[in-house]
Amino acid sequence: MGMGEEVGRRHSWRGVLRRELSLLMLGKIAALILLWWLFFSPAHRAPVDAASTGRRLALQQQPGGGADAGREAAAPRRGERLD
Amino acid sequence: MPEGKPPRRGGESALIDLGLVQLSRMQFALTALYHFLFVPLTLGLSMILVIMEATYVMTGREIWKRMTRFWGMLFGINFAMGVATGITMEFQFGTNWAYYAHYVGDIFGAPLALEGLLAFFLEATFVGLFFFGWERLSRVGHLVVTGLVALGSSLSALWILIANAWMQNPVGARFNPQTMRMELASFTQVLFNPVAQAKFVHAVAAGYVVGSVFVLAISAWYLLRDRNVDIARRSMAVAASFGLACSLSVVVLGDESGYVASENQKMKIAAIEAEWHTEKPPAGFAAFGLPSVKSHSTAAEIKIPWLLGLIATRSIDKPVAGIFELVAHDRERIASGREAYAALQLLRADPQDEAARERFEAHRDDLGYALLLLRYTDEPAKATAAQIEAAAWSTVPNVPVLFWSFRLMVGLGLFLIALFATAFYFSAQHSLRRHRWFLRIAFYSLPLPWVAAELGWIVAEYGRQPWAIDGVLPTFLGVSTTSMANVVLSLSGFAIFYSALALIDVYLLVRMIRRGPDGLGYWPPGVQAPAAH
Repeated sequence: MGMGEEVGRRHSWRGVLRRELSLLMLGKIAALILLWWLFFSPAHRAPVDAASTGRRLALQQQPGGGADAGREAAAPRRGERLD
Repeated sequence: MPEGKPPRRGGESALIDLGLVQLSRMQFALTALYHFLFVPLTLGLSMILVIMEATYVMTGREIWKRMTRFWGMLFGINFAMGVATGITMEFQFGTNWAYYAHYVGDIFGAPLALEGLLAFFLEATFVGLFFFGWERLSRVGHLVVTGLVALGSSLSALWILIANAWMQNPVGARFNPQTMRMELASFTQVLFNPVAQAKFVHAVAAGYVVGSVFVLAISAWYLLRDRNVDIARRSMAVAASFGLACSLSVVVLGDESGYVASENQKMKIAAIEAEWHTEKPPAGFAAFGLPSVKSHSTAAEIKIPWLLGLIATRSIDKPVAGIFELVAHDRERIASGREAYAALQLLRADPQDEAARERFEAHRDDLGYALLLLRYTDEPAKATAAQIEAAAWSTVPNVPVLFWSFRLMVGLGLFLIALFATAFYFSAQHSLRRHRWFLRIAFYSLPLPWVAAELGWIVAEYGRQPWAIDGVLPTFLGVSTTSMANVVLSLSGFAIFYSALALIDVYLLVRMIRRGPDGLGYWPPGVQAPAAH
């Protein structure tokens, strides 16, 4: 086998590898973009912060309202547990 | 759920869409249970590979190397499935559990990130070297690589269980009324959470049992067909001895895990034992019974005196709290929680209100109990006695499910100990092939450790209900404000995708096992093993 033939074969082998790796990478990137677009883009993001959590826990409904209700109960202090 | 309020349903809060909560829980349970099919086998097989390869390095016998490569190939298929199914779970915290992620992400996110950075990267890097390094590394070098794969798997489990243990026992964190979330106060406490330590050793030992039964069952199949006898006999010897040691460890470590739970999750223990009322110590253990949620009692109960008291409290004079007494205590905590909730409302309106802050500080540990009321009313401060009663009883998990899941898990564990002990005896006697009845039992036992592991997961996680974070955040408050249609779509997608993955996984495993070490060219000697798989 001539030297030139071997170099040519190596080049063609590398070319095929490069092409296949490039295709694989492109496929992966496309799959990731599709996943992001389907599930994680801003349109799918639930805005969650202190204010929305406050609304979630119904804390904003009656600021200060009903505050005395809890005072009526004979409540145990922090850290008390049934042991 | 959209921001607008949906119509009220049967006395429930208008703020919470329980249908959405159930669907989100179903989706997480489906993905977690499915992922947990692969995790224990990865843990177990990786350690068995270390044992086999260490034997090769110590003895220089080629057969141990070929065995490592054959079982390693099955490990590889399982490993890939474990990775693919694990990633989706972490994404769900953002997509389906956004309020959970906000409320506790400051603490919960840290161990998950560390799992990726410190454990998964280690595992994923060295798993490549394991498969492609056989002809490129020295014997000892490759053994170190295999050891690092096993270490990475165990570290991965450690970080995940540290995160999970925090859900069971939320230490080292404080609620911040300004940011409306739990914030990390002591990472050391989170790291050295006693629940994490107990769960880690118990779960990892259970994984080793799964790996051992897998090797034992497949080897038994080969022996029944008189194929790959040299490899199958040695594999059974490894699986029987390692499996016996690990299955005995699972009992001891499971006992420790239960003891830790009896200190910080009394309701879970009471539900597992269907202990409706506090018994005079030491409490008896119900070996059989038919617990009824409706009548709050257990029919046809067969009790073993003293046993529960000894296991749960490790004493003869400490009581095991009953469900009724724990519900009464939770009622008090709800009252205390309403104080914290009312103070939090004042603090949200005026962060400078020192009186409210002081009141909040006095009751902050019980805030989560007031949040339970949000399932029944939009205004916990004005909750009726009936709503408070319902919330207090909502702290009781599903007793029959826990009672029977636990007993089935324990029964299967005891059966596996007997299986390993018998295999160990026959293996030591070199008489495995003569006892074909045992080989059949060993083969048909293949699914049992998975059933036990999944039941253990149900006991641990279903037993945590109604809490996402025990005593801090009820599960129903953690779901995202997404639409039912979205969750139905993603749940259906997961069901279809995971079913397809299961078919591919079973097909690949069955194909490789059927071909076996002989068909794949690993053994007998003289056959050149494949360069890499």
